[in-house]
Amino acid sequence: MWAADPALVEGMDSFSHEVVRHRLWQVNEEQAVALRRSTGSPVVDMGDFNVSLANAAGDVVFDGSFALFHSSTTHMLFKWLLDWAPDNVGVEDGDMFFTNNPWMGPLHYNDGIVATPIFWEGRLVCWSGAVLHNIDVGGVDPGSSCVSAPDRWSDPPRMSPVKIVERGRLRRDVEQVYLANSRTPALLALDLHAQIAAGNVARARVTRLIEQYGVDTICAVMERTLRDADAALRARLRELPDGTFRSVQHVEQNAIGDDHVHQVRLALTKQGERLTFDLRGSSPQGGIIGVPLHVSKAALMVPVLEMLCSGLPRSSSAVLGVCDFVTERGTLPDVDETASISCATATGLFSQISVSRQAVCGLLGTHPEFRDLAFAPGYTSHWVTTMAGVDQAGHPFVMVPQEPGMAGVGARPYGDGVDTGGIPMVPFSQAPDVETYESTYPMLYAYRREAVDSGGAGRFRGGAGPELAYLPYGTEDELAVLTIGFGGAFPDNMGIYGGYPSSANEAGIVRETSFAEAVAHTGTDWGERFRVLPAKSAGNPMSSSDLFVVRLTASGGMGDPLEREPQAVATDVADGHVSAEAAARVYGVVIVDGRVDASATEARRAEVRAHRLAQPLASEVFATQEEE
Amino acid sequence: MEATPIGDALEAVRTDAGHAVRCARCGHEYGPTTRNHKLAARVEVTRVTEVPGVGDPSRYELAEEVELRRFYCPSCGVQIAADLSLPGEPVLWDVQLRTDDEQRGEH
Repeated sequence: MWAADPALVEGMDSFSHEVVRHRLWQVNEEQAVALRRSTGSPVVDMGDFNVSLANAAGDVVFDGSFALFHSSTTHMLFKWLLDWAPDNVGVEDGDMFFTNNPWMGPLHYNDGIVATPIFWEGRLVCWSGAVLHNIDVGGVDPGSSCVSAPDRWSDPPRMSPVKIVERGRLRRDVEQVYLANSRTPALLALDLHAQIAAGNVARARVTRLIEQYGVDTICAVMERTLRDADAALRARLRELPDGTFRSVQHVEQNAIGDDHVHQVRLALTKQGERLTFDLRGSSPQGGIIGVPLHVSKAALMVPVLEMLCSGLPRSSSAVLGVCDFVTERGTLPDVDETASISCATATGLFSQISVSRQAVCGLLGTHPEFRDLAFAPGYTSHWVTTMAGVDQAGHPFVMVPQEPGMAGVGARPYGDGVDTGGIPMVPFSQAPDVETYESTYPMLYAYRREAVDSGGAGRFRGGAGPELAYLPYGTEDELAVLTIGFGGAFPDNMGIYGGYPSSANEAGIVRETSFAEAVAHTGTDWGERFRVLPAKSAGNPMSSSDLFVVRLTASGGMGDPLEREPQAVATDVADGHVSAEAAARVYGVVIVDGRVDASATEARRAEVRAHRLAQPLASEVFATQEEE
Repeated sequence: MEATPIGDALEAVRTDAGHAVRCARCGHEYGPTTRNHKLAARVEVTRVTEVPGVGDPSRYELAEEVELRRFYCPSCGVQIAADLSLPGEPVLWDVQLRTDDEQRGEH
């Protein structure tokens, strides 16, 4: 393989380096565009995919601008191939490799990776990775998040790394094996070809850059970019105080029928330039909510990439270089190979992103300047709802709604969050279009709007999440609904620095209704006809007279709500983001005829403060303990 | 050690006795940085339904019910944290700074 010349890495002038670095950066962005435009998947449309460019050794130099948790595990596959492939199937110019084996890089079976080695004059220069979430790859439940799986053998079929393209020619035999297990083989084929297209674009563009600048320059720029990303992150860490920052995320039900609340616990220690993620104390593995260790690592690094690395070159391998991880094998963050892991992203990945985000916010909150990089958690639980059945054309279909992508963005130390602002860890995410869904699937939307009282209360309010409702339409077939998520019995998005958590997620079915009634309905109270769905369920029937109702993915608040400007609360009420009841009870703001009643507000806030000061000391309520 | 912010309403400062956590609003001193400052705060433990937009958790028929713990400055009442915990769990020590003195084995 080609190696970077240390003299060139050190000696290249900064102007030249920046020109070539930006060219390589754009190659990565362009392969993402190629992928996104080559598949018709609504999941990819939302942004549940990503790309990477890595050096010859497999270290990711450029992470793409889509789901950050996807690109940060591609190095695993690159390095595995470097170790295994040369003495087995070989690695040659024009080859591409594929795997959906969650123990080799993909987060779960739906997140297959295509790895493209890029050569020059017969020697390896770099790698391109393309990951995306497939809608269905088999397994016991439609959508392949197998909430019904009693063990790993009911999970989707696992394909360990195979050569999917051999010297420029697609291996149709391998492709057929992969497609044969899917309920949606046509879409799966499109997805796979989109990933191959991304690799082709990356190869062509990198080759062009080599022709223009020379292979030594390309290798040197990649090496220096990685080094600069590492140095910049370490410099930022040195400016932050040392300490330990603790957090917990609750997850209800580890499987259908389980009635317990489980926990992921984190103690993040920052010492000098190092970050140590200690997940000991998390609940034992069981059911379908645990994840392999590499998924934990990908999750824990996301808030570091999002917030701590804000403004710095985005390289997951650079972040990995400053992190240590401590786990107990056989617990939720580090399951063994007996575990069912098809649901790894819906619960395990997101619960660990949450604990990391809370802890990183705690760390950032100790610096007067970097504190402004923090934002409260949002999109903590994706709350997957899969629907399957027969569509309006008589074909079997599987739908995995991406409305969780319309999440609220959490409140900041200096301002409110963003109502239905999207997903910061998927920088270029977008909300799915109603028209796309209605033309693709047998459904009709009754409403889609921002949910009242969803954004966490605080001096600055968390961004509101969405609420929506739709009915089956154009099909007489009964649909089957599956749920997998967490944060239904309690909020999942914590506040920061004294702010409140967001509202909880809620999904359910209203029986015996109509489109006209659903459109006319205001509020979320459907009374006795609404049946809430648990966090883990499968096979819930739904007919054309039933309405699916959901509110989800809001975000946490920042600071004490009693300190929020009363006029801001009045605006929240007028805009439908805060109810008058919450305005008075939580914010202490009394609104009469749309205006702040200043004297009543002052009295109400004094009443709340007096109530607070009448509470016991925590040391009197809780047994002697330290969290050390 | 100048005042080191801890979130929005707390800060850590050097005192004659070492380092302490204090209220960034009224100056109330919670105690040394070597102790969980929340233990010196006032606490209100309630159901999660106190959070706006959270429905009755009993609908989910879980064996445990997560509780809401809100912590307040004992002097001015500013809210410094709103945690979710299982009943009986220790108070989460979310921010534990390690001062230079501690790391040298002093204080």
